[in-house]
Amino acid sequence: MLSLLWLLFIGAVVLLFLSAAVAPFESLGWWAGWFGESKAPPVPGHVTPQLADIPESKEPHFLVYLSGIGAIDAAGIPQEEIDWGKMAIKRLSNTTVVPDVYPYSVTNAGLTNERAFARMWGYLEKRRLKNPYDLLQFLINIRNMFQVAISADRRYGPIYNLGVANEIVEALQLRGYRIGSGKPVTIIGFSGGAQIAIGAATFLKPLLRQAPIRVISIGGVMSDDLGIKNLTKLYHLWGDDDPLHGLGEKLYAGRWKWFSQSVWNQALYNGVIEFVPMGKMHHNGATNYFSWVAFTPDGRSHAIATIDTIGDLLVREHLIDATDLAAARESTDAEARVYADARVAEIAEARAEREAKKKKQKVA
Amino acid sequence: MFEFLGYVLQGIGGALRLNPRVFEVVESYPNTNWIILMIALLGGASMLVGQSVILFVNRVRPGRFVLSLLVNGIIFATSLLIWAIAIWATGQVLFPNDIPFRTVMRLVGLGATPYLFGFLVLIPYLGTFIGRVLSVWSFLVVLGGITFLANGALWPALVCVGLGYLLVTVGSATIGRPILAVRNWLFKTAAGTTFDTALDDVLDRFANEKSPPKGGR
Repeated sequence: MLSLLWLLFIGAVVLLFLSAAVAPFESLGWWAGWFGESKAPPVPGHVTPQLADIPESKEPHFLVYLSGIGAIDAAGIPQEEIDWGKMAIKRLSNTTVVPDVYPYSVTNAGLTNERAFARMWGYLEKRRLKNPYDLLQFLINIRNMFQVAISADRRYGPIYNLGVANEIVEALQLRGYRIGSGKPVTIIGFSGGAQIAIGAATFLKPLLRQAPIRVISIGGVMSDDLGIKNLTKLYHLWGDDDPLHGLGEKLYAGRWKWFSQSVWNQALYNGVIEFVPMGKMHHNGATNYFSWVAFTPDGRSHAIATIDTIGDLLVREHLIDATDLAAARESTDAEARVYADARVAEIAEARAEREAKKKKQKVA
Repeated sequence: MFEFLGYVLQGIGGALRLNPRVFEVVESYPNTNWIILMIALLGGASMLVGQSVILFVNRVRPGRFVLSLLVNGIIFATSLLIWAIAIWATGQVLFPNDIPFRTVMRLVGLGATPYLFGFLVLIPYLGTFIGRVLSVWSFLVVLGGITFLANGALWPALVCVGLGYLLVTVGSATIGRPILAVRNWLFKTAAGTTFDTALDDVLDRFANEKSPPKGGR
């Protein structure tokens, strides 16, 4: 029995190493044109002509959302992030939100989209829809975690980040962004999405003709990526109970304090990077940054507190108007409360059902 | 056939663990030549897979990619052969002995064994470190083999292996330049590219784009 377990463990480790080794092939093959993707690598100065027909957005500010490593495609993200995003769109004024980028693929192709293992990813997604805490979803996390490491690796990063930057530009244009308008763009990256946001900034700024780029990391795991040099500001939101957001400063040597000349430490010294404490928030689970059932001491759900912190930062950066933001908050407060109450009631009901089941089993 | 493969795998495992029994078998059986040549070819190919980013950046086609792996295997096996000559020659001059060159060649060839895992250098972020571990490991396998030939005398073996390495390095920068040129020509011909593009060029082309995109938006 023990030897079988040992064999399984060795098999899992071998599989993990093999998966990690083949992970860069997707972006490298895309660059080399091996897989015949419909979306070829970008050419400097080239703009897709049909995007010119999309009417320009009237909003002065664009906000791109890059999800965490649990995402299966741009829309296939954990339900709590979807609900959070819907509320953020309503609650952040003067802003066009762009939620259409899948940051874990250079071609914006989701995991269930024409891939060798599309059926497996589809199966995992179905399981997750049935049970948001399904254990097997860690396979999605591992796959996407490798892509985050590719973004941070200076051997592959330039190719990977160029692919994602190109997708962000296209998604912005599809939402009415005009290249050359100089309208500021803020990228919100959750967890691994924050690394990809700073990586993509390397190319995003020149592709958007020097428009100001800001990144707001929500519990992000980031390296000392060269893209930080292109940022006007990087805010890092972190929770007291989040054990993962600090991984970046342990794993990536450029973030160690001894390397004072690293991109990260220089940006920190120059005030480009700012840490924003979020209180007792966790990276995952019921008390995470997007939770509707955990509350801050002032009574706001974590989801609303996170959106409001982002709103405050955008006001501080003069990207949105404080009066408009206050009005947007006032008009959505009631809806947010109803939504949070409903989620709390749902959880209480589920808990009561579980307890009733347990009692029945005991009696039986 | 399976028995043979079993022996090969046992041999690889033993070499990786610096097992003296493997060195003994390799020393005593000249017919291990072919197995060691195969390991060197595969090691060279695997190492190139690990460092293949340069092939991709230069947009090498899949057929050329496979051909490059084979050619790199041959180049790697040849470089081990040159190292073996340098070690053997150093030994003959500094510590006169009657160890045949072919025996030294086979034991140096075993040094390719860790590079069978060279493809792991591809692993994002961790790969560079793995590459360094494999280099040290390979050096230790060669040192272990030569120490075995020197009847357990570590220092003479270290001098031969180290000086041999130094000779090859100095030689490649001086009189060996024409050989390096042939090697580079062979590799470029196999890959079908002149390797004009480096990763920095990707950064320069896109990250430093100043001119407005054509198309007016």
